[in-house]
Amino acid sequence: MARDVLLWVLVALAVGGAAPLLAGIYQHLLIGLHARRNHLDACGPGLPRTAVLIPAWNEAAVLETTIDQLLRLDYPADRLRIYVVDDASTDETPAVMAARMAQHPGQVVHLRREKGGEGKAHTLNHGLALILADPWMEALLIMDADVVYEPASLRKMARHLADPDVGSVTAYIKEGTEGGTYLNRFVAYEYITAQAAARRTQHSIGAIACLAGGAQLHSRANLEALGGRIDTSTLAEDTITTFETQLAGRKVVFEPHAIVWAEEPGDITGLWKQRLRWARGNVQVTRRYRKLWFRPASGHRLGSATFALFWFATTLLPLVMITSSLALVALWFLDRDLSTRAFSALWIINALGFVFTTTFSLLLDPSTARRVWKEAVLFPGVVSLLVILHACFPALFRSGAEGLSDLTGIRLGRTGGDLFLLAAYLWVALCMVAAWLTKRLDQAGFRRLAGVLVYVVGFGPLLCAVTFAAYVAEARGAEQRWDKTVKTGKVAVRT
Amino acid sequence: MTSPPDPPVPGYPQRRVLDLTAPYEPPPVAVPVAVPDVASDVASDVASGSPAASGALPVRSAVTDEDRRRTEDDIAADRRAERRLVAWELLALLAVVAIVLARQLWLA
Repeated sequence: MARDVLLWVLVALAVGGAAPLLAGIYQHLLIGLHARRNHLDACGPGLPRTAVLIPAWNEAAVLETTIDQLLRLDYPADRLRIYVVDDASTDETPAVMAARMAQHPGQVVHLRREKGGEGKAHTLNHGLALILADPWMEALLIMDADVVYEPASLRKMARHLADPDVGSVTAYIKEGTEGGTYLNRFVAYEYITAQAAARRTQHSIGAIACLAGGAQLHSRANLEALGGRIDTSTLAEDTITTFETQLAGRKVVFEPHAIVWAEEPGDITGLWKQRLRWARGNVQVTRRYRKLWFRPASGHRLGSATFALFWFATTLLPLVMITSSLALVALWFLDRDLSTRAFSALWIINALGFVFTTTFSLLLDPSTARRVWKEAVLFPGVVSLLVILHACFPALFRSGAEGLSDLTGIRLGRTGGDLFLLAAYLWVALCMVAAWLTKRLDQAGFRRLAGVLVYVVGFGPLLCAVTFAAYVAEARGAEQRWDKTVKTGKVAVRT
Repeated sequence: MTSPPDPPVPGYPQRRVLDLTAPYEPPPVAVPVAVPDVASDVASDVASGSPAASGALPVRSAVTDEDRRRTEDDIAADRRAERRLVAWELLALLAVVAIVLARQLWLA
């Protein structure tokens, strides 16, 4: 009896590895709601006087392009002011800004902090204090120095502020590095799933997880209700602002037709650094709002079970994968037949979820899909795709393996086959270790090899490994550092 | 580098709804720049180029009929695009059904 209970608990834990993907399927199923719940009915033609706030530290390479693009926005020039808060830059930022201020007096403003390096939130607060002191500002656009707005994007965001219940609006950030690497293409696809798809659903259920740091438009009333300051206590100031806005009873809107292009890291080391900061921020947010989860409340939807499901499907993904893998290995020793069936069920769910979410995501953004469809297919990695193939079409996989065996003359035998199966069970967790190794290879200068390995191991597992590293960093109480992501200015609007 | 939470800016009301279509009315007196904890830093910024300090206040403008027409056109187009989502969703579900059928046929 006790053995049976143990076996079924292990089966539940093993198949539970598919829970995050089931949450992903559910999230994608809800996207259709956005056809109705998109806030377009409450939009109006308001063009609020908008102050654009750009935090900048050594951004001379990108600022000229960014400011020029902002000045070409399809938005009345007399309703737009650009404030660049220079966080004690040591490059040519002051000279670039001096030139732009001379060209556009009164519209482009350079605010310099002599004492810098305290992080983005402090830099934002420096500009925010000055901008709020002038009643001219009706809306504030917080953006990054390296993003490029499509001409109609601000207008499309601003139309939502006609509804006084709206506190903030965010846009669809797309990867736009010119001549980008394979990693940029992976990120481009990831942004379809994480933004075009996930944020549509979040908007539909009335709870947005995060305003994109590069595109957040706030009403003045919202900023004042937040105390006129951006939170400086975590690495996730964007998410804190998003949560506080909604907790104060204001809506946050995702506007998928406002497109903003961003340059993302093109190498694994840079990406790891950026994502570790984001993931640590998410862990901090999870802890900070621990009394919020799964507790529905009036005035906001952050406590809904659906939102919590989506939040924890991402933040707990590495732990779920490790648990699933260990349960499969334990089953392998206790009841091999049951372990095979649990493994098969896990990967069939994964396969169906993968097909649905990938197909839908690519359809959501056809122009990006044409560029990144290979990275979309290889997102889980070649190894996981082979496991999916084995789970769905075992006979096909077996005949392929036999053909390969005939070709190479290598026979696995029964023991070899068992070990192969055990390796597949362990892969559910070990893929994160393999992803971590790609980062180490990249750091050691073997960039080409690391790139090939990302396709083999998968971009998804790489992101999971970063999340796991974030837990480790938080558990160790590692120093909170604002590691700036190096940008080159090679970002452009793609048509 | 953890910092203590910042204090709220005094003097700001907790909720205020603005009429976004109204023309800008400049304040009757010079704009005071009250900046907590970064006062000296910002004071030099103001002196060196903020619109409030330089007197380069903007030309007034309000929402025009053209703005209204364009907003309505944009909203109509975006609404149509959002309705297409349902078709894409059904197409993606069909892909799943195709995989399931293929597997069943293969196993049969």
